[in-house]
Amino acid sequence: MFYRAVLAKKRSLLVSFAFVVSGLAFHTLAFSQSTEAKQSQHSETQNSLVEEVSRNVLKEADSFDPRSPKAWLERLAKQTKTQSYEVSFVLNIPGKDAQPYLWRHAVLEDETHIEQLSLLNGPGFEHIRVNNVVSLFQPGYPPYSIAGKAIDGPIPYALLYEPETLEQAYQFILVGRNRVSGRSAQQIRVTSRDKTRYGYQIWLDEETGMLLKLNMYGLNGELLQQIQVTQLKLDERIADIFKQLQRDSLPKAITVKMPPQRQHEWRLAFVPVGMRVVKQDIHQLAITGQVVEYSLFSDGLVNVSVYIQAASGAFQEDVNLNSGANTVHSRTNGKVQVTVVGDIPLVTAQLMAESIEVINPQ
Amino acid sequence: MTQQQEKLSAFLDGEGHDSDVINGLTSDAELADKWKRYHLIRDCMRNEMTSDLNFDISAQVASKLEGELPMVAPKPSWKELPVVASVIPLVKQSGQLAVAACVTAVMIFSYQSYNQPEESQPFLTAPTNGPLGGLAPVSLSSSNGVNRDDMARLLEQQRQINALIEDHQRQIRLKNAGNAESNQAKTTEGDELSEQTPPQK
Repeated sequence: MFYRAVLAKKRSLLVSFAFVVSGLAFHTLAFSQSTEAKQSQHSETQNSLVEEVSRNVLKEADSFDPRSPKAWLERLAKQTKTQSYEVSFVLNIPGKDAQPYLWRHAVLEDETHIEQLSLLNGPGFEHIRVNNVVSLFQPGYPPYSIAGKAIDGPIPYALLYEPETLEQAYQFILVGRNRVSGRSAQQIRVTSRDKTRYGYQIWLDEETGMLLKLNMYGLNGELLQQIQVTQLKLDERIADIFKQLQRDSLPKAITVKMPPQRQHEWRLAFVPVGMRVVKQDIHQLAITGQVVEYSLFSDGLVNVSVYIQAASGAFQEDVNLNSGANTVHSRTNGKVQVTVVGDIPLVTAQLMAESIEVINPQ
Repeated sequence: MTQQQEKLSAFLDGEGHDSDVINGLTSDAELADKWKRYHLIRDCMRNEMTSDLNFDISAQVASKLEGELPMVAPKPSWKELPVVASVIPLVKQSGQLAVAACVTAVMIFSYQSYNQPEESQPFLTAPTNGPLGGLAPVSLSSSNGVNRDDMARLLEQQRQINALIEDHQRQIRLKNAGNAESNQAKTTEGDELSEQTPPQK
């Protein structure tokens, strides 16, 4: 009798289990259906795919070629420059807190471009750009304005506005279509031509051409940084929001006195392909007051600073610091200390520092 | 019926050899189905399931779908989305801007450090070749072996590296500013002039 009771209990358990099993089976079925759908999508010919994409973007310029990554980037630049939009995105660096941003841009009736970028967590900060003047509001500092073509946010400036300048250093490859932020997107892989820098994957919205996602990868394919758009809204009425902005009340643009540019007596024999000197000068460091000879290199996506200073004795061996994308490499020969700082792999920083050579004064 | 089920369950467990059950299994389709299901459940519990389960419920799903009404809700266009929600934050912000403007007069001391190097330019050479020295503290190298000094050295190293990283970030922030400075200065001045000149006349 007791045994039968146990059996009955077991049976009720079995019945509930049967539900689980059938649920499972349904899942596998649904999954196999979706994979089938994907396969059939893949098996479509390239041409019909292209047609579909161009249909999606028919509002675009007549000469838009969805097969060319360059066309996609040009479209991105055109859209970010001319459209009125409101974008929410999250910057995620593995191991760190995610940082949510709000990014707005509008073109007013009088052709004024107004752009706004806010960090939404913590005390945050606020950038407002009116044409070519960027005002910065930060807690703890008096607000100020400086001249600038764009707000220097987490999304590289050159990618958004001047993609043509990146061609020397990077190659762009169309990877395929994907769904990102609930929209169909075109995926583009960006790699440096000499494989000395980090790689990127970007996803652009097919309908609007706007950026939806940007991933940065290390040399071994590890994810270093991620920008994910969570909301994208293109709306002429965003201009109305900016109309309320009292432009006169923004701080007046100050002119920053830059140290004069000069030609150093040294140069780097190795510089990654496509990297150019942006500025060279001698200045004092704000914190320690040390005097440094300075060069700023840039390929558009990343910036690398090279500092030459008299060896202070604090550095007796090489310094190699690497956290996420940021790298600091410093080496000294006892008299002179060379430091390379920037978002490049450590190997590249070392190569650059090693390649320093004195230019003959003659 | 329940008795039959119990018998079936017992039979499955290898306990009863009731001929009723065996007969029932061959004749009763429902019972046979149950027999099949019990086996499946047992396999599942004993982790003896084969990986490719072959349930055929597609017919049921299809019939369900058949009976379902098509979705007819129109796709909302972005024109209809309310902007009101986004207006409110900016109203707040413009208030902030007004406050910020009051402070404008006291502005920008953070960039003072930038103006310094120019003034002290004459002694700002840090030659990369030729004689060096004078600046390097001699005492540090003589007390190399002591641990505490090592610590001090590391701290100093840390401080210097931080200074370099901070400077790197500052330079980047000013990079675009530097580029746009020349043409920008002209345009804003031009605008201001054109605004000011008419009243003078």
